[in-house]
Amino acid sequence: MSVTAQALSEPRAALTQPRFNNRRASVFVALAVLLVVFMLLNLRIGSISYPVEQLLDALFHPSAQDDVAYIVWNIRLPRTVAAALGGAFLAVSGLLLQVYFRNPIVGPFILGISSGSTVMVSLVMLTSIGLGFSGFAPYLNTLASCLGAYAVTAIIVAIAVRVQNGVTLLIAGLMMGFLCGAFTSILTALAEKESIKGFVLWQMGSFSGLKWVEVWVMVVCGGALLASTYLMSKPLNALLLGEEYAASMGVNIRRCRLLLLFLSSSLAGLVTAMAGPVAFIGLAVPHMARLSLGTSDNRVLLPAAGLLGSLVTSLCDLIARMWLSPVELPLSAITAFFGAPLVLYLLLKKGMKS
Amino acid sequence: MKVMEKITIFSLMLTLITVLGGCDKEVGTTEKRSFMNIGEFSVNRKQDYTEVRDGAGRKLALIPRGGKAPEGFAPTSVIETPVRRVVAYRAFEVDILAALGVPETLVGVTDPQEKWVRDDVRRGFDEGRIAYVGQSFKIDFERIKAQHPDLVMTWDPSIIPMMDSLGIPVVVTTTPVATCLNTHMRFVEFIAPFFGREAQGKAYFEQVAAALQEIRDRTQGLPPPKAMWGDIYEKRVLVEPGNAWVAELIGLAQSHYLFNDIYGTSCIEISTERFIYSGKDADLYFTYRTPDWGATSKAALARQNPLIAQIRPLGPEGHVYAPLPGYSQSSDQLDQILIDIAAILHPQAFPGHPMRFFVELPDTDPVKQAGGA
Repeated sequence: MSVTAQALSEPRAALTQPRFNNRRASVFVALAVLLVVFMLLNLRIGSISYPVEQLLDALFHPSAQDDVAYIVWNIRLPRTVAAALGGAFLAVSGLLLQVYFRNPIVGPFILGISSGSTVMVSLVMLTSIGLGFSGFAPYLNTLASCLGAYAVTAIIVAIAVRVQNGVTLLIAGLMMGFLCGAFTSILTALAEKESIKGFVLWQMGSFSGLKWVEVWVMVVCGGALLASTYLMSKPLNALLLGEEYAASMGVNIRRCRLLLLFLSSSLAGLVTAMAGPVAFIGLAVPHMARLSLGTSDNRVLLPAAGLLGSLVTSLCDLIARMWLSPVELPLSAITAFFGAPLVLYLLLKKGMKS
Repeated sequence: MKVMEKITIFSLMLTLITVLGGCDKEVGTTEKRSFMNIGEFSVNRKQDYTEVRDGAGRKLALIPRGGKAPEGFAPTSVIETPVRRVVAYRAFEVDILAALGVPETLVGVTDPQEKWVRDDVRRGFDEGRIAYVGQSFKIDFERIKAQHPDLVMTWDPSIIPMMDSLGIPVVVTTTPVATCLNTHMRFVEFIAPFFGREAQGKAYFEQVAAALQEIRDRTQGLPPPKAMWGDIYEKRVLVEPGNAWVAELIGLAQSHYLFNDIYGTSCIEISTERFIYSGKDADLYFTYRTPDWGATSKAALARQNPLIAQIRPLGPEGHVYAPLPGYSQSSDQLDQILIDIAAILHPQAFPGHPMRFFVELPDTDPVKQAGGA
């Protein structure tokens, strides 16, 4: 049995242990401190170098009419906050689906969420449809992406109402992804070269250029979704031991399943709408959280995955911006480049210990 | 961390940086190498044939029509010259054919007729001589075969096996390290032997070199304006790197290119804050977008990307220029393009110069007349 599968099927006793012991508390504190450090680094370091005093001055005087205040308040700060939030949303979304499907290789985009976004964005960017909605510029792509993600979410939830079997739902999600992918491919094949450039860039995913209104949408909507997710941690724990056990514990399986899918898809859709598809975080961070905390208790894992997702995404965004600064590298490439070996290391370490 | 782990990580990072930054070495040297030696390209005259090494490092033998093929070359690596029928992937190659005075050799292109502004190409379509052979990244091999080309000029080496089986010679005409102005000018000399037009190739090079000398002479001692070239696409910033030929030209025209420190093989993504920071200092901004793609006014650009509104050229004192559709299909008039750019940078040095390849954007879009015919 794989390490993760083992973790997912941890015996009942493990879930009844105290939520926080000294080790877990230390991990949480370390994660929180590191997150603050990386967020500060994201504010401090950029392709333009400013003295700390100047940055602090700009930070406390947002209305100042100088370059530093503009760069800090309109470029660095929104990006820093969005990367931290986006990482948390993706990690929690991935964790929910891994628990629901009891499958360690499931990520937040397995149900076709990013494909739904991509197809709508391709409609706007690769056809002349966008011309009819020029009043929405510059938020047209964000709106289209949002619409695509939530349209697929609605379809998946509608299917989940009728289908009991998780595997069937998983296949339905994959098929949605293929359908959307096919549509996008046709649009790309027929598109003008000039518009393909922008579309390819969007598909790489990035928290660059986010505006405050988009960040606030993430804070408010994402915050509400995260809070709702935490309220589901107990039913999630029961689900770890199988649907029959969960039902015997009084969990309304049908409602729980629909809520879980809705929350997971909504979190992933929110990030994709704002930043495009960001790979790896949703798949790998839940594993990192499980392995570093040594538990499958979702009351602990959900906040830990959120914190770790924020941390990893903030770090990767910093690397993407600064490695070859001022040239930017694709965020998804960095997340996989640094994250995959880390997950492998953690898995091997855990494997050797056991 | 153990020493071996440190060494491994350091080696991996060094390899990546070397691969990604490999172009720096090519352009960072004070003396640029000639095109014939840049990347894989070379042209060597032998006793009975001309040996050409293309962008994929393949050796091709150019022989006179009816001549004997030299030994050691596969049949599709031997090309009879002058070539009479060509399929070209890029507009740049089509332009080169015109510069060499052999536009009638073109029989296939990878853009449909409506995408062309060149009269000779549009006429070729009307006459039925030129065919659209599919998009460059998914070419229609049947159509290529039906055009019976003597040669296919492409950037895509992946088509070579199929072309070999069709018996059609291919020359790969791009290399990632050849982006400089010298390459742009000398490329025609690389293509000229395929058509026996070496004299025309040399004349073209000298014509462009003369234009450059004129630009140097006229702009010497003038205060250098600061220029930037790029655009924001969907929140992502793409700019021309410092080793691009346009950046080099800006330097030659006594001007300061604001992304001179950035290197890459083509337009490259940089951070938004760097774009905005440099933009605050710029006098001139060249956008990638043509008017057809939304570059109709400064206000239109700012509307599409509010971040861009912060750069100085979009303000009342700045100047923004957009390329006209003919710009990307007129490399045979490279001398005129260079003078256009120089006239934009130093209008006082080129009084009354009529702009042919660029347009200055107005502050706002012209108001449409209500109730017009």
